[in-house]
Amino acid sequence: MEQPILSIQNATKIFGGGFLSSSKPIVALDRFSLDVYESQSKIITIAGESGSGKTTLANMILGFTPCTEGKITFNGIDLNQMNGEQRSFYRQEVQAIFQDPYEVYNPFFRVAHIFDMITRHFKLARSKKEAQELIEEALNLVGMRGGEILEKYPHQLSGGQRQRVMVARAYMLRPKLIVADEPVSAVDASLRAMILDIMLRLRDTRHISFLYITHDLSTAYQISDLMYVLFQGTTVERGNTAKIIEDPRHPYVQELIDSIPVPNPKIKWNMNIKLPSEEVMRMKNTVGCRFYPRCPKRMDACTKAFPPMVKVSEEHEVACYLYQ
Amino acid sequence: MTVEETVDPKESPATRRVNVWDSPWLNTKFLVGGSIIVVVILFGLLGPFFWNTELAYTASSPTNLPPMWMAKGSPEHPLGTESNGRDMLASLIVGIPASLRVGVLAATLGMGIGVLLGSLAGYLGGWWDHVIRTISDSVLIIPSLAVLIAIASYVQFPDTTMLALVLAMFAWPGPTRLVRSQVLTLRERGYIRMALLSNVPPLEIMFVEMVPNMLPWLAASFTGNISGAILGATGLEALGLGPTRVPSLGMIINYAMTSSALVRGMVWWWLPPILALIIIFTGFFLMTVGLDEIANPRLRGYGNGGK
Repeated sequence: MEQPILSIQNATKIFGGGFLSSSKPIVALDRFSLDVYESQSKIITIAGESGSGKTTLANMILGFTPCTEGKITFNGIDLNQMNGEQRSFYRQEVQAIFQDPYEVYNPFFRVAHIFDMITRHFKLARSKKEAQELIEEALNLVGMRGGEILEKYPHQLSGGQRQRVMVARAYMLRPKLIVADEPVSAVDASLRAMILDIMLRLRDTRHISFLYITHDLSTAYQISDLMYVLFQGTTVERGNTAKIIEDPRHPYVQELIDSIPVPNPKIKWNMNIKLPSEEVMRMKNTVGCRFYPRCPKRMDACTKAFPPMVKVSEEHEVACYLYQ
Repeated sequence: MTVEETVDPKESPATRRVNVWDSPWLNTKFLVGGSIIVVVILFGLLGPFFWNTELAYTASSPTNLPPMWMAKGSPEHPLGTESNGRDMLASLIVGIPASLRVGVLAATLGMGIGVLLGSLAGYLGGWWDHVIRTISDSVLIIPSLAVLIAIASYVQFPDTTMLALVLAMFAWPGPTRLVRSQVLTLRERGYIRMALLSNVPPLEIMFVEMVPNMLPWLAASFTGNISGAILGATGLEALGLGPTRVPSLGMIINYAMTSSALVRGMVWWWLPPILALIIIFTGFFLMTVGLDEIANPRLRGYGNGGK
């Protein structure tokens, strides 16, 4: 059995609720597990609504937020116990693309600064000329040319250009995994396809895996291989993307897929979602299923304990008592 | 107006704005204040070429002459002379830059210490933050003039540099707090995360990625600190605790006070240094307010861009 390069084991993040804190602890991510293998580059979708813990997960993988419980290991080394050299290697192997393609540029510097930082600090090139060639190659991959953009300031580029530069930057490090936190949410619809296409190309030709974090199930369906659906920090359904989208089992995922607007004005999306009152929503079910207050098929068993992962078919698991 | 416009003064305006004159840096208060300070500096810089500055020293001129437009005034001493035989015009030409120099020196030192400590406290956090914040808050609540008087009565300052060093001891907590709070907000920005992901070491993140983005805030704090330091220096000098050899605005006031210039009706002695200080303070105040508006677009108000 191949060892995963990145392994997330029961990663849990609890915010607040410290010794002197008056606020109640909030479980942002609850016992999340995921393995990424080097031999099979995959696009793995982490889907969920806002507040489901998607971005917390990204921050934990990138080392910005430590785990409260559980651990994330890279080649067997715990992320929180890495020395400088190991961390530097990890940074090179696991890169990121963020949602807002403007925020990630320091407004004080030209676009070339983005590339200067990585060539200098990862020692990617021995000479200026070599660095130039690397940058040019990475930019060509995303359909851009260095002469046109490198000497410009970030605000002089369009949103799509800025996001493509970020993809080029991540690619230049030849990582094994790119954490893409809503990479197309802030980009024009016309450019979305282009960036998604680059992701597919990087997966197939450069063997880079992606953690595609999104709330948009239609793009996930189109490009991703595996999918994890989060609800309030818990994994409710996971497995093969096509299987989940075509045959969703968890009541929450069923509701989610029914509510995708179809680009056809004659077909209205599902309007049957009834949100319970704010109090019920806020009251966190820390013991049972988190979806209980909104679930149309709720049972008494749901409040007793968190439902275990049930295998419903090959590469398709769901955390719901309905299938036990 | 968007925030990014304020952060980057170097960008080519023509490509971004239809109207080149629609720049936050063309803030009326900032420009008026800046012009006043430029005129004051030019007065000190160019003065020596037109007037003999040796006349600023004791017994270089006849005593107690009124200005040239008053009776008995002489064109050789257009602003008059005082009781120790100093020419007033020469005293101002020497005194204004001397006072400015103390202010700039003390503020620069305070700013430098502030940027260093503030960055460390804000960026490294934890233990660093606790220690630096506690010390800076403690220094901030000490009444600085009282301590300065105590120090100055034991140490006779040989020159203005020494005075500036002592003033700098009280000029750093303000900038430290400012920089710390700015660093705390900046460290959550996307580009700082990008720098972290690019393996950029902490010191480079602080001083290459963060500090340039704080420039408008730093500039506003800097001009404010200069006037604070000038005020401190003048206060000490007026009490007779400053350097006694080099003429400065505070020293002129001190001599005017000790020689009862007010009672003797020698307006030309005590008024010019006070007017000069008022002009300098007004200039720096306008610059500080203007820079504040540049740094905080919300202060600019609606529609007129702060003009």
